[in-house]
Amino acid sequence: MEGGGFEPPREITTRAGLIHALDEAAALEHGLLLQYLFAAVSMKRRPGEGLTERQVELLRDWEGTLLDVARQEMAHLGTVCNLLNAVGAAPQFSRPNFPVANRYYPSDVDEDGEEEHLTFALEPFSLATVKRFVRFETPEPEATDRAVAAEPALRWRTVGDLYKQISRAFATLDERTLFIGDQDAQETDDWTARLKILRVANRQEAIAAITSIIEEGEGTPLGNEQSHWQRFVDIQQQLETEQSRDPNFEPARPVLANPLTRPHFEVAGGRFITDRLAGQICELHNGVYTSMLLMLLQYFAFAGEAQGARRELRATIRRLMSAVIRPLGELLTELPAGPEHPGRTAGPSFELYGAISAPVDPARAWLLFAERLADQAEVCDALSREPGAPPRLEFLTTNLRLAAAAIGRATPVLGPQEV
Amino acid sequence: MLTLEFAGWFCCRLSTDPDPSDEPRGVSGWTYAVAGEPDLDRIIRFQDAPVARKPGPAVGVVVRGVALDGRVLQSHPLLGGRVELLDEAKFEGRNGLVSEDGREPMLPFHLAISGDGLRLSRRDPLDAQDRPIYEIEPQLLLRQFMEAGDPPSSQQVLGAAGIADVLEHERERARELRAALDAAKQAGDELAQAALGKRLRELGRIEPRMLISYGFRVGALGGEGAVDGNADPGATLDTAQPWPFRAWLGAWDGDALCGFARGRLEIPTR
Repeated sequence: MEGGGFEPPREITTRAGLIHALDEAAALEHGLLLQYLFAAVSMKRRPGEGLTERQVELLRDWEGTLLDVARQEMAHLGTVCNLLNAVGAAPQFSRPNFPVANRYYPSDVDEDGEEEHLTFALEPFSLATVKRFVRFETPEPEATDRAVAAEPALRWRTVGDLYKQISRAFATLDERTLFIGDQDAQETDDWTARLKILRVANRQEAIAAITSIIEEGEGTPLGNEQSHWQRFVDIQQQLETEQSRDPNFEPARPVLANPLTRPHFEVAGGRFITDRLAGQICELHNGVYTSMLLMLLQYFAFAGEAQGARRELRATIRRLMSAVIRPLGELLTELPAGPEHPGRTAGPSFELYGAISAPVDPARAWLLFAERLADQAEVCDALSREPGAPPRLEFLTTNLRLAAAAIGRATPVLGPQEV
Repeated sequence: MLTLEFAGWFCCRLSTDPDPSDEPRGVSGWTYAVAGEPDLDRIIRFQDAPVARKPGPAVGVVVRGVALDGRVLQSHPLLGGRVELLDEAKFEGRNGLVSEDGREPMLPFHLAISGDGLRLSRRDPLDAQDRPIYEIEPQLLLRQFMEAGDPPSSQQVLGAAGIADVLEHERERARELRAALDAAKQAGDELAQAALGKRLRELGRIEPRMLISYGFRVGALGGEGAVDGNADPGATLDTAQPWPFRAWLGAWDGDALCGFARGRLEIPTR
């Protein structure tokens, strides 16, 4: 064999390669939306936080935009799970913990010849944060030839770039053998009027779904004022204008960047929340977030539950997002991060403490979900009684109990031989 | 039987999905607390709105008709009287965890009607055992709707609220908001500019929900009724028997955070 360095395959030429790329896209969408959510809940909201009324309105508009884009990324994640289903693979809700320095967005090569990456980090809202978001969603006019394959070693510079490689694979792999997933087992309903998840059963629908994701993110060649990129550019320009008008304008609470409650072997960086109450609430937030991911995994796995049970599962997932997860994230940004971080507040760390996997048998999985939520309600209740606890925890305790009761009522019954 | 017919605009400063149901200012839904206003709180106020949004309807649900054994009375202590929901009644939806939008129970349900020297009140318990909300069966939480039968038509709702044309009503609101905003600019009132500017920007995003009749209730008020005051109600009112009650709430004005309520309370006599 001739000398020369080993070059891993970079084209997507097999089903396994396509699944690998879609797994990457799922983790990417998931990571993006959490960064947007973190920045959103970090924002100041009241004149009492050193803002004029006009600035309060500006920040509310920007927070609304970040939350809206994050919801669209959730829909993209759902569509990617449908694409995985279509080619016979499992839904994917795993991702690395934050911060992630060397995985996403390979950028230019630095002076030492090392490839630079955009960091995936949980950072409070600022001009630098918005510029990073603009870069995440930047359009790429020409698809790069840089190929992306055992599983390819994917290389891409923008989200659109990754999706264009996936789209090319859907266009070139043999359609007759590619779509082996149960085509009835895909999520097709709108979760809300503004959150549409696309069904995929063939090449044409797969490419259309990917095009839709790209256009919502980057826009179209003719422009799209509602694209994520354009909306972030608008925020950047407005923020720059406001900061030149008021140099003291500080849009975010002093939220700790990349907060953590525990060490993770894959994470380099991050800072530990050391305040006891804030740390416990952050762990509760991570626990409920993980419960929701487990339920999403069950939902997209189509494990044979009756339609009524599936509807209840979907509804409870959606309700948990608004009624528990976001409020817990918001209240963390008003709690001290701990004595090691003077003047800093905590924030939602979105840590995963283990693998996202659920029992194959639906009845046991559902029992697990109901039990997790009930346990988390009790933790929330206990925390609400701690000195200095935010009053909102009492409200959230009831919400968690309602969610646990709803899942408990809809849990598929174990067969007699299984009890 | 003493029959009281009531109607009028109520206020409810509530956040809307996907904002959390206890969201204080409104961010990602379609209702907001604007500059200078207190936080959203979901309380259903038939009287004494904490903020009178102008332009917007005047809040006040009042007794518009009184009849005794079917005979309409031209004079009665409760005619023109105030109808109130006490104990900070809220639409308890909790982002669907209790029930979805438009089918949210009003909890607690404690009705009071007071006039010239006379006050009637009754607290209708949701659950005889007074269990916490998360232990109550969903069917019971929806009792206010389950017993309701067919809701009133959009035409009936809008007719009662005095709205001939929803779209024209919204256009007129936009004109009024623009005029108020111009005046605030001329006056240099930055607070009013921020508030009116936000309302005007959001007006186009609000779906025409004025057609919706989103809460109504049929059946009878349980619990124990109370009659207080020195004025003569015209008959001896029975506080032990259930009081038949039917009402709807609708014509929701998402800009003014107001809706229209109309109903009838019947009090058995002895």
